[in-house]
Amino acid sequence: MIQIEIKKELREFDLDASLGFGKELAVLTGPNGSGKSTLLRCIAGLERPDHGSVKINDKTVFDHSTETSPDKRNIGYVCQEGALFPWLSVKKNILFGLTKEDINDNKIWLEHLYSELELDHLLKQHPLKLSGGERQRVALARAIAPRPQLLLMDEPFSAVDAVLRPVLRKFIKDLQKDWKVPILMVTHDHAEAYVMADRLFEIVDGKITIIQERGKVIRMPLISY
Amino acid sequence: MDWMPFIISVKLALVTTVCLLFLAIPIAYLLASRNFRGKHLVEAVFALPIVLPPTVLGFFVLVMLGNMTPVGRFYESFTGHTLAFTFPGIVIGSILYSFPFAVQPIQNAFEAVDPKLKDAGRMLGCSKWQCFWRVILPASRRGVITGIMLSFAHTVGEFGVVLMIGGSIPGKTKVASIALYEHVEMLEYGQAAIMAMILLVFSFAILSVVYYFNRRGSGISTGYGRI
Repeated sequence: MIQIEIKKELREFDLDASLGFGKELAVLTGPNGSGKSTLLRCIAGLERPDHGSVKINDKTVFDHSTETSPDKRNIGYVCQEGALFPWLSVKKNILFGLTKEDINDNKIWLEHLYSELELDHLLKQHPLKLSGGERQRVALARAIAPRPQLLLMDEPFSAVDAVLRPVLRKFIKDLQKDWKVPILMVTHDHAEAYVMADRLFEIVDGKITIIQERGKVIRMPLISY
Repeated sequence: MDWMPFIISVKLALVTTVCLLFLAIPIAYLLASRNFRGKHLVEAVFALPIVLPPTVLGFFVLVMLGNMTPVGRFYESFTGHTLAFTFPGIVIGSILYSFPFAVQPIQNAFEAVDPKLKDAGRMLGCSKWQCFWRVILPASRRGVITGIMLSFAHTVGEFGVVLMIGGSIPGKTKVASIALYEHVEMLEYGQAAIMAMILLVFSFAILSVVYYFNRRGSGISTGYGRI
């Protein structure tokens, strides 16, 4: 269970968001500049909230007395442009977060990842030679490879072509079902949000306005936009 | 042809570059990653050798290394002689003189590293220290190489600072540029021409490599912009 309560003063508004979800695919949607990415970065530990708490599987990683650094939170994070390391091959990018023992112990899992994300033929290539969609697939594989306890994705399909999008959406949904890992995905694309979400959160000006659970509205919007 | 001045020049450049590598990387990282009051003054002090006449810098270092200062007296009490007119003395002068040529490209390269790469490193389990070694340094490697090469080439071409601090002691402090100057003074133009050509070709080769790295670019900063 993931429980998040974040308060942070931003330049144009105050981020004040509470959300909780289980081992499901949660989607956070809302207009540009509404605080989605900041919220994600606060959960990841890349930004510090002013107040609040972040609990992952009942373990507090942030509150008034605790602050676990991002490297110790065991969270997978996929950002908009993938942020692949251009000096490393695709394979070395994917294995970056793993120790030698992890690689030896998880050979089957890694082979499965390569084939599911259609990366087998790209493993020796360098990221600068990849298309936007290929880069994002590598970024996804890299975030998933260490089997994090929570996966955060910030607009993961923004650079992916329309043909590949449904394939990746299905992969993520299947991955979540098989692996039972909580996923929080940010998208400003409402259609994508509704297609993918087991639980949907909408955020406007830093406030969560709607929570829906598989189509069922739990909380009505406070603000319309 | 006396090759000793070249050997001393290369030895001086190697020692200076290795020392600068250890000094410049942490200082460049601090300047690139921290903002503090008076940072512009610190940067201006570090950049001074670019605009300062080498003789001025050489004079101050000569005074600093002599027995008129605590540093000089401290060194003299251990070794029995001052640092002036010794090889270690010209190393110190060279480090100060080439300092901005090492720090600035490396600092620029550190500043140009995409913050998303650092975030990715942290989210993949790197501590801040590991993130520096595994993400920031590789991402800045062209800038680091540029800094190393410029420091080396700049030190080989030094004249004023070395002459002020080290004099021209054959086999100790007489570097190639000083030997060239002495050949000209003694009207030995043939010897001077050979030495000048060697220094010219060497400098051209180093700069070609630096520009080659700049051209290749491939999305990673060389950090060469400010020089």
